[in-house]
Amino acid sequence: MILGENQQFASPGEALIHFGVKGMRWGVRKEKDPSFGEPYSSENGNGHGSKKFELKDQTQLRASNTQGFIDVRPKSGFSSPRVQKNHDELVSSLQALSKEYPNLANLKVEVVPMSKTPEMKKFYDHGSAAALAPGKSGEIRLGYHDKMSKLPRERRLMRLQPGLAHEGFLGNHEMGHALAVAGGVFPPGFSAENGSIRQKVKYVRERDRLHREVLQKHGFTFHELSKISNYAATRPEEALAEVAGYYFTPSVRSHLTPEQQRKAKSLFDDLGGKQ
Amino acid sequence: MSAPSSEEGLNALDNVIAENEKRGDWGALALFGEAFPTLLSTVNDVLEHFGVKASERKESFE
Repeated sequence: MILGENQQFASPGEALIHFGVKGMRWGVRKEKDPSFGEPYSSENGNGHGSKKFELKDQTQLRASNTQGFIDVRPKSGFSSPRVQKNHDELVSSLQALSKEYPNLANLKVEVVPMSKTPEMKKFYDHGSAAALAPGKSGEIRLGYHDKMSKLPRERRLMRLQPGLAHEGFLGNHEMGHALAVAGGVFPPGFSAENGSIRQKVKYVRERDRLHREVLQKHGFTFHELSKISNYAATRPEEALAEVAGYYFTPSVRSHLTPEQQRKAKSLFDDLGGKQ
Repeated sequence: MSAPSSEEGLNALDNVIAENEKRGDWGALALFGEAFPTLLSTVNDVLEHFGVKASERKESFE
């Protein structure tokens, strides 16, 4: 049946028959599968059957799924306050922004310690406090560096990414990447991670192109973003994440001009599926 | 990801930033880690690093 533009419905129930699933309740999200390991179920080795995604030393880890995502921690606890901060910032930003952005809330998320996560080895080795790795479609891992007692080379690091000095910025930066996945500009990485060098290079170029396009669509240029932070001048995906870091962290939001804040709202509403 | 704090990562990003600022665009390619053991500044560097032949390069970017 084709509906006319001004078609009226006798009741919400009648509208649901046309637009929704009978029995569905508006505003009530379907509960996620509570089993550990969605997307990386224990049935397939917590890695979709790929060693490159399989969590290591699983007997040393504890996973909980009480908050709508999988939270993986060392059974022995966090090794330092810095590690706890890396973890907690990811979790609190994810929780806060998932309430605001439906596309983000619909991602399947695991929060994982980097040292146990093979596809994050490069971030771990290079001392990134937190990182995102996209899995298959609609899936991400948010990794926290779990072996540092403080941010190494802090003074130099702060010149590159000064936002890191502010509470909440680290988690909000990573939520920029998560929103990019949710909005389809940060493609699933599972195939590329398991693919050839050529596939990896193609993947990076495609990710690059999609980020550039969405930044341009919302009026951001390289020139202005490279002034937000030096780190924003490295890659388009990091520029987008830096905008998120500043926009979502109240204490530093004014680092963005009112016009940049307006563009950031439009960008993240678009990626996050917020009407 | 948040910025790397290793000496190697910070040095390489300094180079990437300098090159991008010269270009006025995010042109330099910064890849590092397991697959790319060093930071490489261009796609050609990546391909050369892994020994991809010139004849194969055309195919890889089509």
